[in-house]
Amino acid sequence: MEILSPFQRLYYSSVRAVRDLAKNYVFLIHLREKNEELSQRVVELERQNAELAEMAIANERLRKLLDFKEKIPKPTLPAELIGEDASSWFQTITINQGEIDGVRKGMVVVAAEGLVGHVIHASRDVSKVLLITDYNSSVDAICQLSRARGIVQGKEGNRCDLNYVSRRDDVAIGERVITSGLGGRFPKGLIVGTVSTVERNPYGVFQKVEVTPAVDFRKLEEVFVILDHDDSIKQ
Amino acid sequence: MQKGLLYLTAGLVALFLQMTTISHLPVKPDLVLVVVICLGLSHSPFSGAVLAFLLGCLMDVFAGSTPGFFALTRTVVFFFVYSMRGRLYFESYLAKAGLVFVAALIDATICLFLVGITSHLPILPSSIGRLIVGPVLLTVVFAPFCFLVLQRTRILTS
Repeated sequence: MEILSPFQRLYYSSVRAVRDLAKNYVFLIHLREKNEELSQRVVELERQNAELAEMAIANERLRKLLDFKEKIPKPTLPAELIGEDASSWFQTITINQGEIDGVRKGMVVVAAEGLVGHVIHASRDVSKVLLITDYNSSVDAICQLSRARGIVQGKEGNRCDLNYVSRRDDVAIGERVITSGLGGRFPKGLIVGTVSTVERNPYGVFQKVEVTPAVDFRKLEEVFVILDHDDSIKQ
Repeated sequence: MQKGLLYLTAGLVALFLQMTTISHLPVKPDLVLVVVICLGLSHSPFSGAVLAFLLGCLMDVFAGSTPGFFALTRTVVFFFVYSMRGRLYFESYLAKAGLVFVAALIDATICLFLVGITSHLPILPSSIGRLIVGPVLLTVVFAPFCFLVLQRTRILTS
């Protein structure tokens, strides 16, 4: 027994080593398969996670829009942005609602954050909206606290100017600018933006007021068309 | 006829890209203008001018411009390119890029003039940079790719 025991030990240790090696090899093969499977699962879960995050953001955005819709006493039509202006010269967007849905030229377009613009052309299924940041857009507006009146006109770089504000008006930076309701196109009280700079020269009749629009037009996705246009004119 | 349809389709594709995919860029290249330049290099004055006018009209439909605004500028650009093609050699991409630069500059200058008289656009250095220099340079950058795609499509369809 004593003589044979080293051989027996050698034999068993060799067998064990071979068995472990085989087991590890098989385990590694399974590990690779498992790894591939888990990698696929990670990709799938990441995709699902991104989808859920997008849904949560969309949900939040739509909730804001719904809250805003409830605040407007007029009938509104939700619309989605489907295109932007084809040139660099003008600031327009195309929305997926047209004459067939009740959209008409001149109707006001708003977002949850504030005023977007007005419809300049309505075809059967789509409409073109002139943004308030376009050079051709003019909105009669007032500053909410100082009650200074002026005309919001578009300028380059997604900004606006509040023109024709009297030098005597005490306009403050950060003050909210809203539509005045005058001019007949835009109903009163829609948020246009906030005053970002005020420049008052020692001479001249007016002061220079720059307004940052409340709506970030680069991130605009959903809007509302205010359908009750005639009522807004009456107001 | 087939060539005309090809350019019209190319113009529509360019217009679609300008309104969707590349509209998020802070400065937009004018791909339709490149198609008009291609027309000027390859078409007869009558059919080319009609196509350039049509592409301009399409631009007018999808931009916030006064009707006829781009129809005019694109027709002028077409005749400019057409008048240049017999005088200079435009086979290399570099020469074509130079032509695109000059044509885009002419287009932008006419646009600036027209916008200046039809709306209250203040002519500021920043607006010139955003409306003229940026788009012109970006159009030049995109032009070789557009030329290549149009050339390949023409070979494939002929």
